[in-house]
Amino acid sequence: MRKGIFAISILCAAFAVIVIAISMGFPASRGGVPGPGTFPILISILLLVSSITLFISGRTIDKDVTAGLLTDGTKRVYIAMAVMIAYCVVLNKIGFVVTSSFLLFGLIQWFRGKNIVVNAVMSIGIVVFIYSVFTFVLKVPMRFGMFI
Amino acid sequence: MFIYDVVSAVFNPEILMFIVLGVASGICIGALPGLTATMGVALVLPLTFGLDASSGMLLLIGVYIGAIYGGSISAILLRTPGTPASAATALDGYEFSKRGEAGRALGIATLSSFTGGVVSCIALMLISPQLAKLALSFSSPEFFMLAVFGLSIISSVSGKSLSKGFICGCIGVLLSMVGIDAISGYMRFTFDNVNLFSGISYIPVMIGLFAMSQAFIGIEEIATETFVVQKITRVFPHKEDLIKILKTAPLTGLIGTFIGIVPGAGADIGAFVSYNEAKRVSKHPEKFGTGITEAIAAAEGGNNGVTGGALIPMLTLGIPGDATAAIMIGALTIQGLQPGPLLFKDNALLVYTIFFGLLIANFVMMILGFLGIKFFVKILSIPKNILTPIIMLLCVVGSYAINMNLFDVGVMLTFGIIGYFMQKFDIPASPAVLGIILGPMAESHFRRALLMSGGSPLTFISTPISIFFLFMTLVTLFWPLIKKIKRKKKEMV
Repeated sequence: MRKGIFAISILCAAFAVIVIAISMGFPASRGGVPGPGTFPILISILLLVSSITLFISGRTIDKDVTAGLLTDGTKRVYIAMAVMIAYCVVLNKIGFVVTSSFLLFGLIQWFRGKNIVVNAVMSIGIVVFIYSVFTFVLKVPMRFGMFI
Repeated sequence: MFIYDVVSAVFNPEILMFIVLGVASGICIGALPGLTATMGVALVLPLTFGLDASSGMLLLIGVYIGAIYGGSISAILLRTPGTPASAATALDGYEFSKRGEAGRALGIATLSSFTGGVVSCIALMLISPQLAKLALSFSSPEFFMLAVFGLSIISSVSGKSLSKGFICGCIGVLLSMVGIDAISGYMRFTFDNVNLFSGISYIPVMIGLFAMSQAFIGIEEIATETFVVQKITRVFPHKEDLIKILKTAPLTGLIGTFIGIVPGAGADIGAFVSYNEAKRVSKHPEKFGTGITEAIAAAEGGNNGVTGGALIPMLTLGIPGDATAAIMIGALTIQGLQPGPLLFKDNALLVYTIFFGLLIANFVMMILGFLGIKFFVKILSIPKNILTPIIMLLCVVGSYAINMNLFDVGVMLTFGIIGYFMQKFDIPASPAVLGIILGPMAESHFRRALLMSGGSPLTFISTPISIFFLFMTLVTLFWPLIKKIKRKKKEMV
């Protein structure tokens, strides 16, 4: 937990410095009227101060307190995150129904196990239902990629 | 004539259908531990894109009040609050279940939620028009101070660490600044990416922070299953319970309403404050926690009281009472409407349809609660291992449907991952939402006010309203500090 808090505060402080640096390049204030960079700079200064405060307060956290980032459950979450990222990458190229059916089937089969045919039929059914509601009822076109 | 228009709009079969649909799905979402009211509203939001403003808003409001009530079902039966708002209900509700009186507890919760909801709805109808009338006289300095006051609420929603809350709030404000600057037309933080020219759409951010991150948490605990073994018998309250409910729930509903008006204070706080207040004035405070009618009535009246209260600052001032109200602001803006005093002036029919629809939604919640409780209890048996992947898919579809842009799906997933780690490090997500919503309001009025005053910062304290908001901001910012010092002094004594 302690290391994580330190990392977060350093990351946020770096982010604030970058925003300030970029905002300095925006058109300047004129006649007391703030330019487009003024507000981002003000907020970034507040972010910088808050990050430093978090860093200092992080030193009081007990070293033994952990955020539980390496349990079996969290490892499962990291794999799911990777799966979702891969899904988002291929979604545009393959299409919603095909990609989502594979995603849903894969996740349900992984989490639930049991009958593979039932899981496959259920996954395709759910995806087709969602696709139909959005495409035909809500008129949200979901056609992209090679297939549907 | 106007009243006739409002009544006929609400009793339009299509709108009634959306209210029933919203409340029923809200109860299902709320009953399932791990799915919050905010998550429910975020997931249902894409369904409103194709609807007119009143149908869409009443669908979301139905989900909101249904979910707040639905949380009591698992709180009573499993001692696991479906939503944080029902944590106080679990204290006494589960004691009823242990005695084999789960049906009685569910009945008390249903009637108390209804009473609290109706009280808050009446308060909404009475307070909102007056507040909106007052807000019509605001100009840029007042709106800036109002936005600053709204942002100062971050200090009260930050949990244990103020710095974490401020970090999150600042990042929210900075995110809202991506895109074309509304005043100068200058491109900010777009890095020549076309998808960023019109800014980061905040609905995918919220779906990520509140729904996707929760789905990841669900994956972490995927092995945990819930089963209800108790049979539900009579749910209609007995005469003696009825008297106790009518004595407690209206008052706690009023407490909940006022807590709901305070931006940032949600239904969970409303329930606990109401519970404590009922305990404080009770002749038998020692019985609280042992399973008594007044305790459930207080908690449920309080949390459902918040629902109407949270809509007051949202509709009249454009300031979200809580994260759920923030998503509703998004729903209104998608419909091309700007919440705030002008909404009352330009779209009075819509506003009063929402008010009256909220009242009807509370009746629908009571009817569904009494008649459909056995069905809603069955919802608790839906396996998480099927539900979680479906929620993930709905997050994808929901974020895509806003602008029909796959870039928004990427934004949602990014914030889903960030939101998961935020939960791991006890960083609250609500300040980010306040920042995203109030950031543009604060910046544009800050610059406009200075433009009008020729750069004089005194313009921000030139009217009594501005000074009032400044005072409220200081009180809100320093209140947690004062409380801390008081607590330390008490401990020393």
